[in-house]
Amino acid sequence: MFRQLAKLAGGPARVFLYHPSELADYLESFWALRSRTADRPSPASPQPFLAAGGIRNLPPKTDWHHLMYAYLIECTFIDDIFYRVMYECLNGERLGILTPESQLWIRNTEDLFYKNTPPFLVYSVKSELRPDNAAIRRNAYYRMFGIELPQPQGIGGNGTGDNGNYVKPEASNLQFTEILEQFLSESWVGIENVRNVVGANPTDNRSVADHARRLYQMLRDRRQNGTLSREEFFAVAMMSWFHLTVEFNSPIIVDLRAEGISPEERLKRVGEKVKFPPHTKSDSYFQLAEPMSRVLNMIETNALSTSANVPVLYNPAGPLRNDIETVITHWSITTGRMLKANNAAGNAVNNVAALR
Amino acid sequence: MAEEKDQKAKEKALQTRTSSPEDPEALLEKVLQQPDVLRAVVEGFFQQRMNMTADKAVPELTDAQKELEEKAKLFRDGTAGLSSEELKDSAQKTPEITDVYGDDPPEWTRQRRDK
Repeated sequence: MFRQLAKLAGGPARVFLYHPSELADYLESFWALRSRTADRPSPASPQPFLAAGGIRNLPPKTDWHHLMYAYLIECTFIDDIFYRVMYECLNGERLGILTPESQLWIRNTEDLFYKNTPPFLVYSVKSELRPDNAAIRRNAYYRMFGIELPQPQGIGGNGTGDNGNYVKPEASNLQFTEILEQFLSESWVGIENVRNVVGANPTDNRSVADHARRLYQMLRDRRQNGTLSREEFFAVAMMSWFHLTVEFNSPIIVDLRAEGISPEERLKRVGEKVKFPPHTKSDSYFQLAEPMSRVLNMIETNALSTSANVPVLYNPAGPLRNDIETVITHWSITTGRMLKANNAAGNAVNNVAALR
Repeated sequence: MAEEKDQKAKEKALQTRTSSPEDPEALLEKVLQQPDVLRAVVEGFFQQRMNMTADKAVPELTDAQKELEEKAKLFRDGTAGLSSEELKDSAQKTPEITDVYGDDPPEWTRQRRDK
């Protein structure tokens, strides 16, 4: 192949002057233009990103979810479950013969997330220094939020599992959860009293703003000069891939006979096939992921650090009110801590929960 | 006789009197004599309060707050996937893979070859 390229390029030395992405494009083109295609079939021949001109119709500016989105989706054990699906499909036929559409899904999933990606891609974060994708994500979650995944052991790209042995640096936001919960509790007081015009109003916008400011500072501290941006991009990309896979009856879901009416139902059925059940609170994690991302994104704009802006969280017709209510409800379910409890009884419940 | 006449006139006057800021005692007298009036007053108060909370109690947003909500909507729209209805529809349409058996190369390869 590359000897033929030497002829095309006008000399052998020129072959080594190409950019690696051009060489990758050349190989893709070489494959796509192959003769005797009937003798060398392929379930799928994805178009290379350069030759195909990329995916069109992208908006002029793009946005992706906060790292918290990836964390919450991963809490469902979706990565562990699909890792096992991939393993079974690539090493045998226990899960059945897959349709071409599912084979393409398998190939894309393996290429994107379970191989050593070409070094020039922005989402290529794996290397000899950090060889395990799962450990890279856990490290990012720990640094940004000071929290770990509920599953004690992740499955790394090499299939051995990281055993929780990822790096936990000192510069981690260990107070994140505590401040976040205070922010959410205070916000709930504001939501409860938004229509209160007669009685004593315990809403404390200054306190909400102060918690938002502390969250802003700790999150931005970890992001200085773009630190963790690529790790976030990779984690969000990977989890959104799996999230989309279970969001509808996609080809792999149909092939595994795991159809359902909701993401958690489909994930549960896929989990049954590979004998790895999802988290019992998967539904809440799926419900939380996007609203929590939006709330944290708003906090990171620093706009909520001003008490005058805080009422947007309470506005019944506003976009943030629904998000923050969903976050408060499902965060309480997943953690077992009652964020709506601003009274003695609720605090007692929280204290009991803390003792368990 | 004159006393009875006075009493009737007093009652009639009481019935025709209406409460006002200038004559608040009229309401009090009515309430004392006709308990239903009290019920109507209390219900009226709550009705008024409910209307007020529905329409006016939520403070109107400032321009800065409205701008913030617009930002939130932009981020929401920018990161949103398909709606559940759209996902449902797409699941019914089988994606087509033309290159399964190698007899139909992708469009971009044909374009490159034709050049």
